[in-house]
Amino acid sequence: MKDQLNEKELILKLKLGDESAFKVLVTNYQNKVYNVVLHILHHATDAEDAAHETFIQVYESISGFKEASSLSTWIYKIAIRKALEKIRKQKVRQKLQLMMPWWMPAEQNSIEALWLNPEIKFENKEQAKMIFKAIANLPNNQRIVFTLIRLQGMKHLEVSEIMKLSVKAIESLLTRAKENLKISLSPYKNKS
Amino acid sequence: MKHLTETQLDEMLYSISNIKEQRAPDYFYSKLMLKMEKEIKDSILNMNFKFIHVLYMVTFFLFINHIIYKKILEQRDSNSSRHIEALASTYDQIISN
Repeated sequence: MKDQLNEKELILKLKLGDESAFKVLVTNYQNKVYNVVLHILHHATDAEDAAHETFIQVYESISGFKEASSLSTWIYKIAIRKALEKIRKQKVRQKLQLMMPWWMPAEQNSIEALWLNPEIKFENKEQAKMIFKAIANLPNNQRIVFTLIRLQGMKHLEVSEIMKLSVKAIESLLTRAKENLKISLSPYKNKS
Repeated sequence: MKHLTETQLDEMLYSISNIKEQRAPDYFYSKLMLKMEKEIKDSILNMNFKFIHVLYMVTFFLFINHIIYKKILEQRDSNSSRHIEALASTYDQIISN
């Protein structure tokens, strides 16, 4: 079965330009990539765009992939880079909206896509909304580290490879992210 | 205001821990293929545009060069005839003196 191609075979086939191998790769990674970028961007359309751009970049650069890291780490690196590019574009868009509201119509952030997830129990929806909002307000690096470790379940070492930072730096970013979340979520907890 | 403790934060985060993976939007692969095809078309169009642009720039450069060269030649011609006339008039003056 093509779905059961091992990573080495898949990479080899991708390097040879095998379209069916690319389809297998997209099928295997589309949900993971989409989830990572959605948690970083909190915007469904931008997340879909970033995920598409990730796979286009994978297709274009696979010949240069030296296999120093695993395929998934390499794909996540690209996905995060694409998400950060989108964040930069979002910021420019927001500035333009402020400067020229008549020219750039305001866009709604589709953060709801996360907390309206059917996996979240109804009684937790409000709490989930608060948590995702608090995560969205974290600085970029803290948000990425928190998302990858706490929400995607990645290991510190893997995240340090993706972010090109030391494991200590990752731990420190995670601690700071948690501290910030404790502060921003405390009014909600005190209220409830 | 009292901040949350580590345990309280973990409790809160537990409420979202049952989220598995969000599924990628429907027709993700088909949309990706369309985008890739569009990108290839755009890159071909861009390449053609670049070629036309370079051709236009070279033509424009040659045209400007031609005009400047023509002007220089004309100027040189008129300068040399003026020089001969001046020489002739000086010569006349010397002769008349």
